[in-house]
Amino acid sequence: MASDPQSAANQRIVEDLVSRLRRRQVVGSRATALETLLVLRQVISKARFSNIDQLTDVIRSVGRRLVEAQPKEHSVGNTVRKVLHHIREEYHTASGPPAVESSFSIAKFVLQGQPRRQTVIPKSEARVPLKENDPDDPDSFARVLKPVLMEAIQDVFDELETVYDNIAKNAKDHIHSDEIILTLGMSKTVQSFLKSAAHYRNYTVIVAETAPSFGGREMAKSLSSAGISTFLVPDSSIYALMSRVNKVILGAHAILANGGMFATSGSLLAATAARSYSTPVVVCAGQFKLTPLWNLYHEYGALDFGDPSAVLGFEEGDLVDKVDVVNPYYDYVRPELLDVFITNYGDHPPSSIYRLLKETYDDEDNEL
Amino acid sequence: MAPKSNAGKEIGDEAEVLQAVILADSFNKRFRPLTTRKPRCLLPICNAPLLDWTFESLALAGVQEIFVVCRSHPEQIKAKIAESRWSKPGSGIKIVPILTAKETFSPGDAMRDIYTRGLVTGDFVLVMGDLVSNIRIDEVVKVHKERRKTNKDAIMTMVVKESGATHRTRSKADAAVFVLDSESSECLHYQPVMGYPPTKVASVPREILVAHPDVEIRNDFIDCSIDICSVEVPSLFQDNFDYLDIRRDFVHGVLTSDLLMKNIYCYVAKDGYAARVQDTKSYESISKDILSRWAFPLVPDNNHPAGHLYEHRRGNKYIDKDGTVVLARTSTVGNKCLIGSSTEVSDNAQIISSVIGQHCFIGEGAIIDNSYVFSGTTIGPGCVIERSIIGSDVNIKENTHVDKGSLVGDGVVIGPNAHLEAFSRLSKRRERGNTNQEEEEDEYADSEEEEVESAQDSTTINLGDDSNAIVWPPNTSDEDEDEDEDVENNKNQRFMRLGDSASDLAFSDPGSESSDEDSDSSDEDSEFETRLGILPTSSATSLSLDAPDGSSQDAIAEFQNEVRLSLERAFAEGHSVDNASVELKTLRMASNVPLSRVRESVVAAIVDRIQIIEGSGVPQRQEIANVISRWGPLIDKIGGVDAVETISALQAHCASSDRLLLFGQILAALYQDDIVEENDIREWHESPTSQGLGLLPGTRTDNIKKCWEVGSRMIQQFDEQDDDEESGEDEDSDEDSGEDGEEDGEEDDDSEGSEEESD
Amino acid sequence: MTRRVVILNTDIDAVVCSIERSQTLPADLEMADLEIYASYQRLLENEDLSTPLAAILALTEMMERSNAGTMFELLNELKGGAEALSRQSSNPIGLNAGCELFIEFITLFPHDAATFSDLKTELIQQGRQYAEQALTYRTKIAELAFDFIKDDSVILTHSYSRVVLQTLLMAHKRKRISVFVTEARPRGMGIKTAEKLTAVGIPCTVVLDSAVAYAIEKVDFVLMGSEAVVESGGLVNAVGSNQIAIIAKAANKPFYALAESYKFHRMFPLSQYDLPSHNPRLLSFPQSLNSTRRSSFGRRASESASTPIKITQEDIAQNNPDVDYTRPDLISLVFSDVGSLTPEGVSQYLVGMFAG
Repeated sequence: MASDPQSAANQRIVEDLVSRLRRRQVVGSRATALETLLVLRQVISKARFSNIDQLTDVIRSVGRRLVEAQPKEHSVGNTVRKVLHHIREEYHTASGPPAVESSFSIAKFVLQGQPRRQTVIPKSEARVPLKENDPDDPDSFARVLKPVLMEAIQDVFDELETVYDNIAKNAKDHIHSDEIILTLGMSKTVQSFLKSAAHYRNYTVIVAETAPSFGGREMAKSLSSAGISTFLVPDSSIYALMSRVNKVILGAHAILANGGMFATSGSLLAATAARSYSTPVVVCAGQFKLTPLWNLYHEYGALDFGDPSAVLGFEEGDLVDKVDVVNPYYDYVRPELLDVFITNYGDHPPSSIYRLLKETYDDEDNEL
Repeated sequence: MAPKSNAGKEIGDEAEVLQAVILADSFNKRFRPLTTRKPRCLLPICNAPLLDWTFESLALAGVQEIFVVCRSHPEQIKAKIAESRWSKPGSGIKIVPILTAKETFSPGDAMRDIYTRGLVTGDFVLVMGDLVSNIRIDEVVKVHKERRKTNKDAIMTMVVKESGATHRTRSKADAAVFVLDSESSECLHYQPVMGYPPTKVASVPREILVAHPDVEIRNDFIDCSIDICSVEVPSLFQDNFDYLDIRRDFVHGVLTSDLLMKNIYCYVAKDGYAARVQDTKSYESISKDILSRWAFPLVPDNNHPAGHLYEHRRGNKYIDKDGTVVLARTSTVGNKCLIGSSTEVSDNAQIISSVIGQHCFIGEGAIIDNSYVFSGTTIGPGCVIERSIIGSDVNIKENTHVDKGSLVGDGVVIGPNAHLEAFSRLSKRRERGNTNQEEEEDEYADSEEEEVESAQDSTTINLGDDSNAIVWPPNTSDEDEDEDEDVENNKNQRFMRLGDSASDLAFSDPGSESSDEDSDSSDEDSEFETRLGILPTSSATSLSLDAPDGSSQDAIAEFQNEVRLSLERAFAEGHSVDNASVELKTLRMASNVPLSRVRESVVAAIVDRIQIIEGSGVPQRQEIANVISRWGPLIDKIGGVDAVETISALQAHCASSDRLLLFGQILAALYQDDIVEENDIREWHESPTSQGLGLLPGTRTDNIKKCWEVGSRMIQQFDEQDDDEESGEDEDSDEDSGEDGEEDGEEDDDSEGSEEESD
Repeated sequence: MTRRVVILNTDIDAVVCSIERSQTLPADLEMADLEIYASYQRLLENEDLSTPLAAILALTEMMERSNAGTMFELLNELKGGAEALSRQSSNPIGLNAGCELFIEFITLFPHDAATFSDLKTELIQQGRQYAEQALTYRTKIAELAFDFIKDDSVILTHSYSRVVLQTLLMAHKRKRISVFVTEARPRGMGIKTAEKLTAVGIPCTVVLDSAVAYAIEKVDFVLMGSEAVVESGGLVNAVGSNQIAIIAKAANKPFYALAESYKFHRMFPLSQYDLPSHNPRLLSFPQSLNSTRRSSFGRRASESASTPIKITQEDIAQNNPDVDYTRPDLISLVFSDVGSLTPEGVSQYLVGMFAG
């Protein structure tokens, strides 16, 4: 395989993204998701396979490589899982209902519940016969399936393209006139959400400046230029202002299976303050941020510690030696502190995230 | 693999391939004996070879073609490159190892080699093989290319990183003061700073202050040795075969030479991290910087150059992720530690701020404090290792104490119960059996190692029963012979040594010094004064003329010779004064000497022109009048009128030549021809220099005094005349002299300085 | 043999009904009932088998002996057997879960076999196979939980649980862990855990059940085995689990339950007293003492002094429950062989099996 020019080309594409991920030249969950998708599209279009397992193996190995390169960008893995899910779906519709399961055991029963009656009537559309492992023409399988797969990937693309609009669609139902909203950090999702609500409602936004990245300043600038009445406050005053806030709206970096999330550092502070005033905490995030992982919040490193220079200048020569600076990018926010996730496919409470995950991805891909 | 196909990717939009040259040799011996069997660029820092960190730094910048210039152990470097991930397809980088001759002893030689091979085709990045950086070099390249479009003479951009003057990563022994134009960040002057002999004074040429209204004098830069060079840089090295060091010779040479007419710029990196592992001290501080995540995203848990995966734990601990690390229950791993895969740490062992390589074994109760242990090393129970670097595959047996600053070479066995003094250096005794084989590899090390080995009989240090180690003497002899000016001098090296605070060498109380320098960094303008404030002789004069180094003195002598020749020609061929002056101006431009020097030379030449006519006064006076009337105006035509200086020059020249007796007559002739005025003479007369004050007693001083007495007599005459004249004229001339005085005062001081110098 | 038929229904009430005590006295037990209980007891002697698996195996053995000719008869027989087991066991929750699972499986098993006896053989085969397979689940769970155990953790566990033990042993191989284990009165099973852990070199301290609140601050998280996980996601486990969960919640420490999927139990207890293990004797006040007090209120002190009342450990054990119920909101995660689940996630599997 290694001598195969196509697989070599694939490898180069993958390695290119791997190094860019490692070097943090691609950051942000949406950007990485898009890049991953581009790579997967390339890989699939160039890959040679004669049955579904070969195809999924190829994609999984690419996915593994990418996730390993940057385990902190969860949307990379999510995109791979999503593509795998779509591929299986397309494959199943293309190859017709799978043969009735020959074995039915207790273990399977526990795992999958009662056997479904296979009542799905094969769709009437004319289908090219799908032949796996055709010895005469090993590429026939790929030839038939590829256009369908490309379409499936395009769907994922479209979802990513429209994610902001779809989340912002219902903004006016969540924000009411004369409300005071608190937000922090620079989240494109939250930004478009607030701007879209501003078309219908007249409300005030308090933006915490979110040291040390100061994404809040950028956010405040953008919101006020959209005509929203905006206050920029230091992070330390979040608690003091909370009594007047009607709603806290946050962005997310990744949503975990238990309904918790990783979000810009400062989010935990805001969510905790909100809890003590019983202020609702609303999270705006695309579904590509849903991550079927649990154990992340035990890993200290999962918070993604950046370089200390944002906090302490490198030129402070004397201090550099004596002070250890901790500069995490993300906070882990527990599900108990969150009230609702607004996604591009409807609103969900944290407790039902696991169900969404089951629908979005296949269980077998949770570990790539 | 062709660069063409790589260029298609998003890495760079220009079609031009960005090239880089890595000088993968240190050209010094600061890491001996760790580097006897391994080139320095393959020493691991945070468990990845330095070369990998350098590659990663360059890859970050989108460099597509890298030439690695290697001198010592080239086969090792070649093998390393071949097996590394960089040579795999898909890395997008083409790496070409270049074997340079063994006679390449300096970066300058390497640059000449690059030139003769014709490797580089355009602007390229020049780095050393020990760079750790996350600076976006591609942006610097962009700035450089932009500048090149308007200024073809901008041949080089040096990347420097702001840090404090006392930053741990900034070398005290091998730093520099940069003088920059605030606006264009053109580097105007470069002065190396050493720890010993301590550099206390930065001298800035006057012209810089004149030509640039806003200058920054910075002593707080870490010189990252990242240079964006234009293609003519190697050729400049070729033309100037005496350039050895890139900074001390090349940069200094280019900046001080008006002949080359080239500019060098600095890029002050505000964001990002860059530093060089140039000595064992910076090895330690860069290790710590990496572990404290200053080099993010180049951190062990994110983008480890060797591709290891580490788990980042609270307190910046990094433990290999593959789960092969065994930490005994009662072992403690302190903050800022890195532990490589398959390493085992036994019970009650303590690891404090240290880096442990792969496949190491740390015995029970061992303490490793601020040390760097390479792969495959075994440290026995009860050992204590303090602030040292332990090579790979070392076996330190039980209860051995390694004191701070020690370097233990690869494969050494020491102990049990040995005690290594602070700053000891050990390497493995060569096996006699296969000397032939090794000889080839170790050619460079050989002579030195043998020397060390032969000196072993005298050492009495207990290294333990099974030891195969040889102890290196504290100072290697050849370094003793070095001149003090060399950065590699012994005492200066102490500033580069791991664990050595060199406090006994520090020139002043460190507390007051650091506070001085603190205020420097906060207020750039005051820096100059502050630094001068701590000088023993704090006078403004030492500013411009302090320590003109050998090369510039040569230049002046050469210039004076040229002037003499040029004037002789003019005298002989009867040029007009204007023509002669044009010629002089050109000469001055070419040699870049201050105006006062030109004046001195011209005055000297004219005085020498005057023939001494023995015996009688009248023919002599006639001769003087002839020469002065013919050539005197030239003195004022060389670019600026400064009569006082002229008199001083005349005095100085007469005092040191056989024309001493002619001083009064020449001065009178000058006065006659209106080249000097009465006020000028008075002013000269009043200045302390003319009286020969502050000079060492000697014939010259006596002569100077004699000249001054001649002057006194003249002034007496003036005074007598003045009494006869009206007071109105007097007032006018008083006014004139007042104005002149202000301007000339400094210059006068200057000339005093010059005399001191030439003394 | 086919005396009582309780049809398992999707209705929650019916489930609770199905496990209600029968009024039949042990003396009336039929031969078959005794037989199945005997085989259940024998199976339990195997250290590795937990109650639900033993129940499933006991039912397969019963099937082997059975001469039922139709599916209906067989099912009835099995249900009778399940009930007999439940009646004779002091703590029927675990075995109920196993029986329910097995019977539901048989009900839904596709009738493809040529003859009924073939079908029966195949069912027996399935039961055996599952029991065998289920033994690997603990390793699977241990692997899942392993990721949650970080180096240098201090873990609190309760009583004795094979799956917890296995998890700790596995973690010990690669990570430095220390364990607090509660004594777990009245049976004192925590001591057994401590002995086993100490034997392999895991630092382990037994804490009193009453000292959990004292110890909790030193603890990183709680690992808990289980008798059963009910539909709400709540946990049924050795008594004391509930209070540990409450303390852990108060101290903001994660509380992880480990449960093999055969312990998922279709039950929805709303309080402690909805558990089938609850009976009126538990926590009852001694009748006789009460009456004396009431009759001679004034002289109580002197009387009690004259005839000192002795309360033995057995008395206490008799009046106290073996298991308690822990509400799902106190549980951080449930690790099972089907994956790490939120407590709510458990119901999904139960619904899948029992409410298709």
